[in-house]
Amino acid sequence: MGKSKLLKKDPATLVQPQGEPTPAEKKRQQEWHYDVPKKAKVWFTPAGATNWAEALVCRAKDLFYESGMDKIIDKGDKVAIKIHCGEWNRNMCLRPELVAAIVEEVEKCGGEPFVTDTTTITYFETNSRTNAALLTETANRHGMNPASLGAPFVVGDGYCGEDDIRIDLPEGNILKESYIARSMYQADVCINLAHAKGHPFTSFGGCIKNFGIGSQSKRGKYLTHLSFWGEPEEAIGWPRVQEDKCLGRSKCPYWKICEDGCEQHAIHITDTTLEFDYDKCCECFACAVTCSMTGHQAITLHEEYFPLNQISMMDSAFGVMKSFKPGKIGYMAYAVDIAPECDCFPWADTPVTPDVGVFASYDLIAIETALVDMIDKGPIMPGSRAEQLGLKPGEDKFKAVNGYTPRIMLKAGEKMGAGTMNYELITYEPKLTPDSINKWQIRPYPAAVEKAKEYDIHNIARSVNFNDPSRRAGTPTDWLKGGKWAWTQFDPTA
Amino acid sequence: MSNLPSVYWIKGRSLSSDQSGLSHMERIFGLEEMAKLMSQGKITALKINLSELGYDHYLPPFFVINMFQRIRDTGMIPMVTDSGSLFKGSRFSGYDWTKTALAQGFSIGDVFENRFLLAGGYTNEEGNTFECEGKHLGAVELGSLLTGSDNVVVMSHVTAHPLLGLGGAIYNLGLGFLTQSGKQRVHSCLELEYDEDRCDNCRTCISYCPTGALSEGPSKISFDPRICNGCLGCFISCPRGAMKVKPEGIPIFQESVVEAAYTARKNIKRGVFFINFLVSVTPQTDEYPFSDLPFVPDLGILASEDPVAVDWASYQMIIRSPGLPGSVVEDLNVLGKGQDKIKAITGVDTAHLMEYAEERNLGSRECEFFIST
Repeated sequence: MGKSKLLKKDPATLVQPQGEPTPAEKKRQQEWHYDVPKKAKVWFTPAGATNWAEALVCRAKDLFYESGMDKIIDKGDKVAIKIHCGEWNRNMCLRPELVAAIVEEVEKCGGEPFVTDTTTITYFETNSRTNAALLTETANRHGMNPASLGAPFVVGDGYCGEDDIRIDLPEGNILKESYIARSMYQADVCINLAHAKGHPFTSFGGCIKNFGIGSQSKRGKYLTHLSFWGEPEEAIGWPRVQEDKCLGRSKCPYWKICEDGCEQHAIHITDTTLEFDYDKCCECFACAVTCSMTGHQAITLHEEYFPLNQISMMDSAFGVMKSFKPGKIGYMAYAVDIAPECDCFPWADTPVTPDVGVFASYDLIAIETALVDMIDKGPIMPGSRAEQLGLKPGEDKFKAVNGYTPRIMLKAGEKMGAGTMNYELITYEPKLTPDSINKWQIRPYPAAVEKAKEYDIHNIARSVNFNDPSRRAGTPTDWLKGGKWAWTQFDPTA
Repeated sequence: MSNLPSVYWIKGRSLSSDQSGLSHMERIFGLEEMAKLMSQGKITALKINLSELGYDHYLPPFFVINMFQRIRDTGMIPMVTDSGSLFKGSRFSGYDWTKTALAQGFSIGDVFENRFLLAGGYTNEEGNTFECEGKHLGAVELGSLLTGSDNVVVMSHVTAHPLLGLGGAIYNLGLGFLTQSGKQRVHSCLELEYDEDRCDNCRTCISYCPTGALSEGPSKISFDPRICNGCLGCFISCPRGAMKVKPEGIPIFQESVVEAAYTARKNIKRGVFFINFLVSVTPQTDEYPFSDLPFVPDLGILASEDPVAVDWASYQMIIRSPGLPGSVVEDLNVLGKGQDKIKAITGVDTAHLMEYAEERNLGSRECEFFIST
């Protein structure tokens, strides 16, 4: 089995290789440094609301200021707000207004926000975000457009997913370089606005995944997914193929999807087995995903691919950190709709725990540690995979559901100097006061009598006799308990 | 069987319901050249003129939306695009470009399904460098959206252009897909001349200057030509005409635009089609922050696979048309049919643009002319 013959030079005459950093940029990367605190602050506000001030949007806006995120934005700064826009039919990705909540505050600080996400690793329609044409449409489906967000929605890694800058990673564990989407690289500030959920590869998807996968160009994604690493027999850089487990055309109902799903025609299914051409494989993972639905395990990923992927993803995330001046990245995360699988899935399973709340920090490892700690502490959601597995609150939910603890990437990050797992949780609870009721409303509530007059609309309340007997039968007393038409006649439990 | 390109003319008059703007669009879409584009590949870039805020005679979004929907309904994916501006106006940054589109009525999430992007990406620098044939440009940077799409439909709002003569298909093909770096290359032959006597210190130009070549002086603006990049922001914005383009650079600019247009066309993957809208033909291009009254009546729509043929036909129609009273051509005394209104307004020879375009094999002025009734 030889190596794949990809990576042909582009026929266009290139004066400068795409993504190659200038000498000045190389120097800046070398001199970049993050002072890891002994204990990092993580601001947190719990989900749950019983009044105006406690609405999730209000909590998120409050946390933006409580954590001082307004201070990292200078007037005129281009602010990249990195989100996961969600795959087609995924109903648990971030609601647009949860993103708009932060966009609005960034604008108030004088920043120029844009909301961005990148294309997926593949080049064809195995999913709905593979190039700019599809990503824009899918994002729009979820309402991620200028109308809902109040800011441009930008394809971060460019029309073909190759618009990037290379970041050197001498500190990287597995990866020694990564490629950040160029529209993020050229921003002055980044708000890493994550949605906390699980992922079958990386165990957990939060702020680290938002950078380590979601902010990479296609080049970066191939690197991070460990594509073509080592030999096919090692089955880390290639799918693991076990031909003897394939049921073949005669017995597997998904054989055609499997074969047709391979754009490179690397797969041929015979009556009883499969043939796999490693020379043609382009590491899109379509075959592994398809076969995982069958339960036959003919094409899978090596069990140890997943912890390695956590480590490489952490490496890439560190690369993104290095693209910004120290102090110019804010991390926020919505731990709501905490599904066991990622927003890149075209479906959503029952969340593993009820909504936890909103988090903010300036330390990538700290916020991620706090997220997984608080999610683990949370109750087990009835009807979820976590319940099926018999989990108890406090146990490692994502380890149980997805196979590996998400803390592997955290320790890998600590080793690199990307942050600290040691955090101080600062819990914020909005207080209900006459002022806080109105702070984030679109109009002050309650509206004063004088305000009502501003609308100058004819008020029918005082000009129509609603009490006329032609309008309602009887009096209230007739319908109260004991009355001749008492409502209890309709109550099956009375 | 003729080798000449076909140019189709949809007349400007609408005398009955089957000659409405809607039916005009249907006729254009029904042309065999459009059908051919719709049958090949997956993605079609739809190039429009997104005008500067303040320019109010732009092509109504209806025409763009209608074309977008027709393309989409065939199963092809349309991506609406234009480049950002070289000068610091309302289309300079990705952020402002988006806000300008929304302010003009291009409802990005609503009717365009979010498929409304800068040709050179949010940064205006997403592209690759391609070798140019010709005398002036060694290479030029083309936006990824152009080279990544399968087909390109160029919807040009035809106007006069101060340096090209006619602003039409060649202008849009040559400049409309370039990154900022690409545009700087094409503009590099232009030198600005500052007439200090005309300056009255209104300071309008300063906000347009991206390099700082223009700065505040004690009583007049100060201009440093060494750091000027020829973006023309001051040229179009100065209300007193204090900034002029040195005439030597103008024919070279025309030729550079042709060379860039040729390179752009060469690197389009499959097919391209040009639709020139001779509607609200103003003395200014869409890049200006203001628009004077149109100087000829609406003359309809011209379409062709050949950018030179469609531009030459557009130019001829404008010359042969009567001018509009009350517009700049009345001031210049060129209201008559047959008078070169574009030459009178701009001082520039459109013929030179066309001749060089033919020389570089961008297309041919000679064509077979079809009138759609």
